[in-house]
Amino acid sequence: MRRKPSGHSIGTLLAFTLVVLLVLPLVALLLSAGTASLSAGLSDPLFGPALALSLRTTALALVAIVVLGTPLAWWLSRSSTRGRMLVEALVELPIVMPPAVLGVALLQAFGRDGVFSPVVGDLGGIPFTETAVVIAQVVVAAPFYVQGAANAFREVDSSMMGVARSLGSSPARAFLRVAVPAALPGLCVAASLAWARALGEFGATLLFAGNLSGETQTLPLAIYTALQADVKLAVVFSLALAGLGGFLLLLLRVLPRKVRGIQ
Amino acid sequence: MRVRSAGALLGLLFVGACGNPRGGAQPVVVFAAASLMEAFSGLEQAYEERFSDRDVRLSFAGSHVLRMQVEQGARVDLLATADLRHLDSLQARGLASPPVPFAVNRLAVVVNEEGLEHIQNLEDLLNLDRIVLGSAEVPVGQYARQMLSLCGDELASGVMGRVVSFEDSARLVRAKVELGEAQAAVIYQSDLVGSRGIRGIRIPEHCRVSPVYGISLAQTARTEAAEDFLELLRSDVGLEILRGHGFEEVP
Repeated sequence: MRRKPSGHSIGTLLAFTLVVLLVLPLVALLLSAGTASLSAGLSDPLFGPALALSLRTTALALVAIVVLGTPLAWWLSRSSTRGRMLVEALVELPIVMPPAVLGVALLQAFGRDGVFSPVVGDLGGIPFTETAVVIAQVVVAAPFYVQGAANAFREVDSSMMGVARSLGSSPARAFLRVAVPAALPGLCVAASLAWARALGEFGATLLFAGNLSGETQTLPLAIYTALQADVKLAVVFSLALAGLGGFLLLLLRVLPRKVRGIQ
Repeated sequence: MRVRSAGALLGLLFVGACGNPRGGAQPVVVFAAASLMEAFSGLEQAYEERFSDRDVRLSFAGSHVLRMQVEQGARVDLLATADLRHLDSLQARGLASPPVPFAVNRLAVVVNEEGLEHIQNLEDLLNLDRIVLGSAEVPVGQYARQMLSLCGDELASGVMGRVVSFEDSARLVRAKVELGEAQAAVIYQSDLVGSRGIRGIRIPEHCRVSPVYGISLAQTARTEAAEDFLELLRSDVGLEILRGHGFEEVP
């Protein structure tokens, strides 16, 4: 006798379809890169500098995002003013804007021909420098952290903060000792998303920071350059970037649990 | 706990900083059209052998992207593009010296294995349904349009109707044919050197165009090191390297 498919099995099927869609391109990438071309690709002169630059700039961008974004996320999670909705929308705006648009906008803001240049000069020439790489990464990735962190903070019980305050903690101390630990797993996931987005950033970087090996050529830009020289090389670089991104995402999910376990 | 995560971040910064490749002297920065990738890498090598204390940094992209970057203040010494138009416009704005023609290329109509089954001559492009060209902003796209219109309006409009993508540089066009996403494309003769699994088909005499490559000193150039590069490019050594990568001498 045939049973009607249950809601459970339909759900599994839908979920499985999405997972396949997400993973299939990566599997294809892995299959298309032979082990010989893998070692040849990783020793290509473009690879080392691009990897180092990507690690360095994304780490700096992440620090900037966490330092600047955490207070903002906390305010967004607690405020009930009408201004909050506006700020929230403004902060999320870069997510819906194409990165190339952000790159042009950054050039207009900080470039030699930018709208503010008659007033502030060329600001020491930010475009086409490593600073420009970091700024582009902060702009595209910060919304992911702020959004995730605000959600994590919303889960923090206000009465816990009240207890800490009544025991004599200053607001800052209560925030650091109560709110941050309580929200930590969520903060880490938000940070890892922002980090991964910064690592993959391409469009804004290409326009605002250029594409110079050893100076502004991050791994995604090196992939773009490799695609113009040798498709196989681009496949190997892409695989390395995918592996790095996957590793970082896992690390930042496992890390908070370990930290908690130690505590 | 906070100390630990701060430590982890510092550790990552350290790993990044160790990879900093910055050397001592200021490098010579050369922006070049994507089609010059291997030729200019060869020149870089020759230059660094001749001047062992100097470093050349190359950046490749479509000529219009390079021009935009110079207009927006990228610090660069030399700029080599696949036509003179972009350099002329930079010169008009006082951002570059008058362009010097240094090489001639040819166009190539290329097909992959799938395209080869349907094609004998240029007119047979109309038997295909997936053609890729350069966009109208990049030289390879402009030259392709010129060539097609020299071949006749019928072929030109037929080919344009079969284009599935306009790409940003000659090399991105080539990548689409190599990957099998396009059956045919118009690229440079020099792009056939070192390509995989694609073949050129004969272009009739009356539709040939000859792309002329130009190079300019940028306004921001530190002249001595940059002029040495220019000199090398135009020497016999430079000419030999360019020929080896499918370019021809300026007549």
